[in-house]
Amino acid sequence: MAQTILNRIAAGQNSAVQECLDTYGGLVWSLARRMLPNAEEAEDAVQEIFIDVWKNAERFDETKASETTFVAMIARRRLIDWMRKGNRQPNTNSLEEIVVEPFESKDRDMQIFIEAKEAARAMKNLRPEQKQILHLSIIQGMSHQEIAERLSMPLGTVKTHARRGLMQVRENLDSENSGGSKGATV
Amino acid sequence: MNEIQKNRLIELLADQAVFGLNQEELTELYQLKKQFPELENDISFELTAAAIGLTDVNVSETLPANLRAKILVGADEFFGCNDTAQNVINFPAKAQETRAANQAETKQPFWQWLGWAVAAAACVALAVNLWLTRTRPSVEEAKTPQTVQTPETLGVPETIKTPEVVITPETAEIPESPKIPATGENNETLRNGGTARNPESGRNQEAARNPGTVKTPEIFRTPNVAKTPEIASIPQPSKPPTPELSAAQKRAQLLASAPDIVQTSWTSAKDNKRVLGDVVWSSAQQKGYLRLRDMPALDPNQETYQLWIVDEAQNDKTPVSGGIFNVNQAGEVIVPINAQLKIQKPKMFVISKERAGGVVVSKPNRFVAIAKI
Repeated sequence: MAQTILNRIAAGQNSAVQECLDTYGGLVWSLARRMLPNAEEAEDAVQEIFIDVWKNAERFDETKASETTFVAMIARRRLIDWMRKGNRQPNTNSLEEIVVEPFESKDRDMQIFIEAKEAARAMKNLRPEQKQILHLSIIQGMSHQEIAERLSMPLGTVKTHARRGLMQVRENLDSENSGGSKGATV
Repeated sequence: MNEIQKNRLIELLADQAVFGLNQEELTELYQLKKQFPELENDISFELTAAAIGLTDVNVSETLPANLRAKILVGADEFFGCNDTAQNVINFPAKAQETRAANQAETKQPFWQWLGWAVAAAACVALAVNLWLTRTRPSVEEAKTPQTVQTPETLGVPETIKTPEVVITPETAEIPESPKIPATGENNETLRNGGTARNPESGRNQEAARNPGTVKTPEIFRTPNVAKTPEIASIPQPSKPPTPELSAAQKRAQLLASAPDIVQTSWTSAKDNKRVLGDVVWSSAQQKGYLRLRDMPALDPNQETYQLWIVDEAQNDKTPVSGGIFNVNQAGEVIVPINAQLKIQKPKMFVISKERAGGVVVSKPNRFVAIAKI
């Protein structure tokens, strides 16, 4: 089996660093721009994310998750830390823009597109409030307090919807793909 | 009781994946994980959240070039590759030094010998020159400090011309930066650096490519350039005096004469905003000019601007040095590019702000402006 980019980074192949940036640079940049208020913070965060990627490359297990999801997970970890530390002002869109469907992709970045499609499918059967809260938190980067205020909902209820929704998506993804994320560990 | 704790652990894992945890929650999570080692390294919730996060990603976005460069430098530092030629994310001088050293190793012994012979001859010439000029100072010298009389034994008087703007890349720790008298057309600063090189004629590129005739690696060891007598004192053949064109005129001449000219604008490395000015380059002629307007003047004793050229033929990690320069007045400056290696096809020019004399390895946080082709 061909080695993945992260496998090769873990093995110390410097050429894989370039390839990693070619493949996931746009994804990480896009995630950072979506969750952080300005380009300057996004730049700093993206640099930290890639340091985390180098550090965690050896922990990647392709039987547990795709490389795309793994890199996105590392990015999210760092972005959440970044937002919790700083003055979080997430890039919020209006509620009308919230559509839990993947973007229309062209030929490129098919892997992201396919995984986004799977995630969207896994979210299809969620209750509307679960879907909405997951979208506001994960995609728009809002805190549970902000969501509670925005939806006039108790904090505990926001968390409960988020947890149940996430567990449901996890199960759905796992049943869709036997090599899914359930039980994945690092 | 155990089940309740496990459920709480799962709640925390889910919260962590969606919202992140505060310190108190993290402590609780840590303690609960110790009780349920099977969940200690569970990242399934985080992976699920990451997958959901992909549903709205704009894949058309690309990593900005300056950020990419910063990440590559960060990777280099992380992997600790600075000391190995193979993996260096090295900025110019180091790469050039390595390449030059490699080239030198492959040359024939004859050329190496010749190089040393030239160096030795140059040393002798320098000594004679010093002796003669100290004992018999010429009238010319007294009148024109910028004219240097070469050793009489060689019989070749040499005039070291001072172009409007001279970049002397890789000439670190050079104590004197003589200023050129303002001529109306230029307000740039000369940083001759003591090597007395004319960037238009000498450029030391030949030396860079021909390590056999000159001890090439020394050229690239920035701090030592001024101390290498074989370079500093090699006499130049005399030239008939020709009217020197201004940098602006040379730039215009290049634009008119080079069919392969490329021209691009500068943007700020900090915020992608436009920086006034442009860069022109001809790979066929190996010549180019930076044009910059209203660049902040630097204290020449403290800082300098340094140009790097990213060549398509080279690894991105090993851009070629284009020289150092300073701006001492507001307004437009035109600076000739002095590439230390042959540039096949430039794809990006970067200006960084460095300590006086320039540096061997730059850092992305010192980048000031970027011009992509």
